[in-house]
Amino acid sequence: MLKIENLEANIGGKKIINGLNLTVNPGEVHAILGPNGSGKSTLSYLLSGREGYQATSGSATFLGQNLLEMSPEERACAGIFLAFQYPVAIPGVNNMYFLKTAVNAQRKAKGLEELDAVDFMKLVDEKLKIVDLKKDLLSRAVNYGFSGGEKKRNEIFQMALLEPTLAILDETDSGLDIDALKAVAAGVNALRSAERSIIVITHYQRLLDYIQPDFVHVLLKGQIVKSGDKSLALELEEKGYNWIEEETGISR
Amino acid sequence: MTQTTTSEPKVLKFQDCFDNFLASKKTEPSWLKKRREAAFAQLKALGFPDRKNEAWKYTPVTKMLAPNYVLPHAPDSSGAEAVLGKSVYWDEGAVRIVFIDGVFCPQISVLDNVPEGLTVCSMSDLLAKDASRLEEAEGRHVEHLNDGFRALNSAFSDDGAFIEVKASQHIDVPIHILYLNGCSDHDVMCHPRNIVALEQGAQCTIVERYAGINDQACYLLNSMTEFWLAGDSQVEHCRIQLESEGAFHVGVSEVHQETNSSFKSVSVVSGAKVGRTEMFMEQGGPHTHCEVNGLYVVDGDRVADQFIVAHHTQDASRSEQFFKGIMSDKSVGIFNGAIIAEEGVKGTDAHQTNKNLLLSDDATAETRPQLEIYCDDIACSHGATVGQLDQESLFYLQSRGIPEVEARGMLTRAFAGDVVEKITIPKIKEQLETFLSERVAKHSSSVEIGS
Repeated sequence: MLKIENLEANIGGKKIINGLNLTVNPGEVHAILGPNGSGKSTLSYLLSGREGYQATSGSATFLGQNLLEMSPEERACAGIFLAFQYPVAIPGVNNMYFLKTAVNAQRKAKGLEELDAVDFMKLVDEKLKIVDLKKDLLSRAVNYGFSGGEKKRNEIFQMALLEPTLAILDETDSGLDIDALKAVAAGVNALRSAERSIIVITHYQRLLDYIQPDFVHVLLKGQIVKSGDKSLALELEEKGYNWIEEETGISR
Repeated sequence: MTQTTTSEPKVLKFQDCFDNFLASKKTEPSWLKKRREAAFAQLKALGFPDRKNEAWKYTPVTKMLAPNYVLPHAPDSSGAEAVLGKSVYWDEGAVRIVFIDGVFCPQISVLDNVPEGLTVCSMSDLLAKDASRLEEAEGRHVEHLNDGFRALNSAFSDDGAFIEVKASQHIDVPIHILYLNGCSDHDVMCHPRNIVALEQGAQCTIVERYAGINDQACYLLNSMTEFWLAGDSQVEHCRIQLESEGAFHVGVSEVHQETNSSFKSVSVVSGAKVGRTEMFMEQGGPHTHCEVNGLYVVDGDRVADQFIVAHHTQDASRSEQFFKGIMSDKSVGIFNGAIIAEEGVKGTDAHQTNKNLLLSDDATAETRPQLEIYCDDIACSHGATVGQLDQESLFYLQSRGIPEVEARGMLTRAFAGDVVEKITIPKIKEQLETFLSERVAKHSSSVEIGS
């Protein structure tokens, strides 16, 4: 589904992604762990197409399409979803209006009929059963005045509405207390399926107690230096990153 | 003041027109003739403002005065009736006084629903029926002819709306003053003078709208509107300037407030090649509240100029100025906002905000807050920003599949939203939201999409 080969990228003249390889197949959940500055967020922006984040070499294909040549909205309509580490608040744009515009933009791109207000409300009610989000947050401006937990729930709610093929969760656990973490993880788990793949980018192992990954990768200096199953995450939790640096000879 | 005559060609070219105009007004009372002559003499003495004048620093006056304007002949209401058919000018149930190229048009005005306690008529009718009331009303502002455009207005003004609300009357139905301009084949100039006078404790809602009928038309609309608020009275005001894109507009509002009165206004500007909106707020008693909001949205090489003055001369007066500009292409948006608080005045509360959004590299925002504070007991704030659409928000919307053009439109409308939000008349708010959506969609799609 997603194939990244020898990907390199410079941000502000500095090489942040340095020969990264990763293959994600349908239904798999991959966790990418790494210390600060290892390139985790850069990778998520590269995959979602943020301006200023351009690959200098290598390739990334998604369902056979060259991802790196697509606009952010094309990637979204192709099925890629990024849950932001810091979702931006957009005063003046109503959350419900935003969600409906997004859903219909993606439906239009897929050649489906756009949903009217009634059908959209039905969809919202259905998805609210999956993600525990206070309904009054829908009538407010996008993420405006939302608590940290509410913003992250709103991200997962969008994921539920947009039904992506590949979801990238960028440090979704940051800033969450344990209850919010559990609620967000429950939403993500409810959205796991044989067709949907998930990349969980995180700092800590904690989130992986709730979203169990099939694969765990360690990102250091812009490359994946070690991969394993979920026991690798536990080992990292216990021993930190130093032993990997020693083992691989790549230091932060 | 020493009256020196000017040889400025910009002024002199109005001389013949003025002489002919006076000759055609032989039946007017002598006080009115004198007033016109005094105003024209004032124009000659002052000349028109130029860029050396700080208050007009960024306004291309020469361009505004380049055409050889003529006064309108008999109005042609045929084009206007067609326009009236479009719902955008229509508010069911409202009182409506309509002027075509500055001349009162009774056929398409709606005045049979004027409630008890309210007078709505044209200045021309008032002059015919009650000239002394007009003399009294207009007489109050002769001393304010402190620039060429006001003097020009007073010299030539011969129609406009006269609105009077009797004491303690609360008028629920909105009163629309509608100017439909650009109906003539000639480069016409018109100089409306409107007066809105509220007696003690009265309340009303005024919608003042200037609309171009033909978008290519070139004309000069140079209006003055005076608001006289007696004690405890309240006005809700909405001023909409959608002149033809080839036209020039100077619109002055003077707001005079007595004790405990309240004036709230929203100005929306999106028309004219060069449009200037002036608002002056002054008090005749303490505890007044004056809130003026504004939105200006321009494109092409057009200019939208706002000149706002809150002059605090009485105790415990509150003023708020909240203006936002959206400029695209090579357009220029200007905000000149002054807060003046006189010596010894107590308890002034004055605030000012100006925010600008530039949608292209060639668009310009000029923002000039001016504070002149001569007293100690004052709470005052001001802030100005000039920026572009927030890239992070744009990416967020795009990352959900919303096309860039649409995302830009959403963010631009959101920027304008908190001004439009302040319009209290649902129908007008709805009309403006639709209009602005179309305008903004046009701007957003004209933006070069980055790779």
